Amino acid sequence: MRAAHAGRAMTTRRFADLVTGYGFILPSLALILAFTFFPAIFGFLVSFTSWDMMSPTRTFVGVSNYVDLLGSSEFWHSLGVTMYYLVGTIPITMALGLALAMALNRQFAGVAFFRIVFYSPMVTSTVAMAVVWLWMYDPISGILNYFLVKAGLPPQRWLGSIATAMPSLIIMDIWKYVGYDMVIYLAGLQGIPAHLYEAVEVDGGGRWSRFRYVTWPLLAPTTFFILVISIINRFKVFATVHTMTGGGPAGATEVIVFYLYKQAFQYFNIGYAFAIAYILFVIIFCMTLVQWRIGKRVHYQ
Amino acid sequence: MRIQAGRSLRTPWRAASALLGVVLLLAVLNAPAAGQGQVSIAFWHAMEGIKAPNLVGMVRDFMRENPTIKVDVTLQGSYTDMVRKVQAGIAANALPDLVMLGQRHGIPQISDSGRLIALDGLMTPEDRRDISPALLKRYTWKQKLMVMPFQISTPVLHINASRLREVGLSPDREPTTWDELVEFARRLTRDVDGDGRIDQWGFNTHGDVAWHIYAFIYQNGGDLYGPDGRAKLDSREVVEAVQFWSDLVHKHKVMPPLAHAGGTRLFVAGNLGIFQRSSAFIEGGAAQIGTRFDYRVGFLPKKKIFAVPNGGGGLGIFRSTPERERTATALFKWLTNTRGVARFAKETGYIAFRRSSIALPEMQAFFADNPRDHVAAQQLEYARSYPPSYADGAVWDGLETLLERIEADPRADIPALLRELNIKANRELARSR
Repeated sequence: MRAAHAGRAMTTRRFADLVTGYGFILPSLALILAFTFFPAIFGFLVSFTSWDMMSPTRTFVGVSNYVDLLGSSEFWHSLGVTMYYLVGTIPITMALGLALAMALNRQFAGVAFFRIVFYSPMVTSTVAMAVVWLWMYDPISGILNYFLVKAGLPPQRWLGSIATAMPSLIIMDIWKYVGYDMVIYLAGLQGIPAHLYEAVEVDGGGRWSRFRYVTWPLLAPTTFFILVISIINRFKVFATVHTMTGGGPAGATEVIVFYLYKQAFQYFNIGYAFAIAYILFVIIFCMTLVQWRIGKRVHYQ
Repeated sequence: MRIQAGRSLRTPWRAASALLGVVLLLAVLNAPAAGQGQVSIAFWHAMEGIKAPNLVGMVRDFMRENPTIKVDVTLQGSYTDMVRKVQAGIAANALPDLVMLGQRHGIPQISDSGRLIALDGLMTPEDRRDISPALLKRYTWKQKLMVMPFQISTPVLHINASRLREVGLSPDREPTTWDELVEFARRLTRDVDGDGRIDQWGFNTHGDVAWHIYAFIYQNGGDLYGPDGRAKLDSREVVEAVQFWSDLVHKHKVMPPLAHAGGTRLFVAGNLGIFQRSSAFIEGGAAQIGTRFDYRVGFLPKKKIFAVPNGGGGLGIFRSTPERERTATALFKWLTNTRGVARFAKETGYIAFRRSSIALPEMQAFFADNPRDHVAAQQLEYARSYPPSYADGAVWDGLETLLERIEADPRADIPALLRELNIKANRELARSR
């Protein structure tokens, strides 16, 4: 009798726990449902229609948005531009991030200051930062050309030329993300047990051996994590392009999300824009799957 | 386990506070009710920078004359920002009562939403006589006037007359033909310090290059669309106009390639002889230039004819309640009547597009003191326009990209690029229909 009573009390308590738990997540759950899941599903449906987001009628067009998209040279161009951006930014950012992490993974006066300095671009508003870089890149009054000329080098057109517009965006991107990669690598480095380095020293290994046989292999999961996050983030690059180049000159910086934006808000092809979004989703999803498959092989225990 | 027990003890309090959170969230989501006794309307505008206070000042005066009306006037950013917000507003059913739209920013699509009130009923026969039909055509969609011209501009030549004098040209005469434009620009393009790089350029346009090529196309007797509404960008007239643009950069070397974004700075600094940009820049330009040089304004030159595209935009009224629609209409009429247009033109530098406004003695006096504004108003006679089209965005964006390509590449195949763009524009039309 007493046992049964206790059992019922437990159930009530468990129920109360449940209510509490769900009560706490309800606000964020509601927001996620309303602003992430609903638009995602709604967008998928809209991608099969021709719609300008304003007209009360949505015409069902089947898969024709997807067919048009895959046959559009502009879509493939924007995908190529995005790849250029990925390849231009990710390896250098990661290499610099690792180098900085190794340099700052020691105790010396001012180490916290340097860590903050390198990380600070990450927490700066992208648009505000882009405006500052716009000034720096200005071909007439920009500080970069001022230094180039001072050093006896020819001034550059930076964002104003087809050849240098993308490299200019890449330089800025590296500057922004290097601190993020650095922080993650720092965490990774601090997880490497000191006795492994001692073992290398005992075997007579130098700095390179320490890096080659301990640091790099043990950082593999960290490297892998940064790579996955970087690819996803770089695929979604938009604000800097929107603020600094508008996709130009002559489409040289028209990354895929900017192409999507143009279709949605300049051409008013919302259905087509959602089709781009879904293709982008599929690409990122596939790349992440491949990465996870490779990733299983890089986890050292 | 111990943690688990601790949590259970505080369960009622946690449940209560979680519920309280939800209730508060719901309370925030419920908007407060509007005030009573007054009619409140919202007016979204797109007058950025120094022109914003002028418009807000006008609205304030309107409220002073109509104490029962409260106008909530807010800047929504550029025309591009505005159309995005209207798109969202339509979806969310949260539109203002009065809206300022750009002439090339989605008027067909916004009209198709059915939310804008057709303005033909508000137009008297006098209004029709007072405003050029070419201008009204740009705002007429499916035979209905959807937007009333208000902030009207055209491109003009902003001229550094001091430089003209320096190179032996008369400061009182602007180039009137394409050939003269080249001739002027050639003499104005100079390497002053002898380092082998050009320091003073002859000619440039502002960054809205598509608008400026429209001018060249019209001047060459061409058009963007044919009578059937289909894009006609592969015509000989358009090819020649784009070729002329390319020649200014590559053959005559009087226009710096891909440097339109820096055009304003170059001009204001005194290093650009002739700058083709909107007449809406006159006020701001004069303020920045000050007495640095003799700043004048001239007509655009002609090839076959004098012609300029019209720009800027106008005001539309969104459907709401009869009371709010009446109130929005009152403000709309107050702003766009003869006096409203004249005052707005005087204060902001937009063009007084009503003949009756121009005829006002105060406007004539203003023109006497501000010859630059007078030139812009006179040039309106040559303003060309075309009915809004679903392909406007594609044509604008496509021409912009195309001009960037030809400026970067002297050997670009202009006819082929235009053929390709024409197909793309017509595909856009087909998609939207």
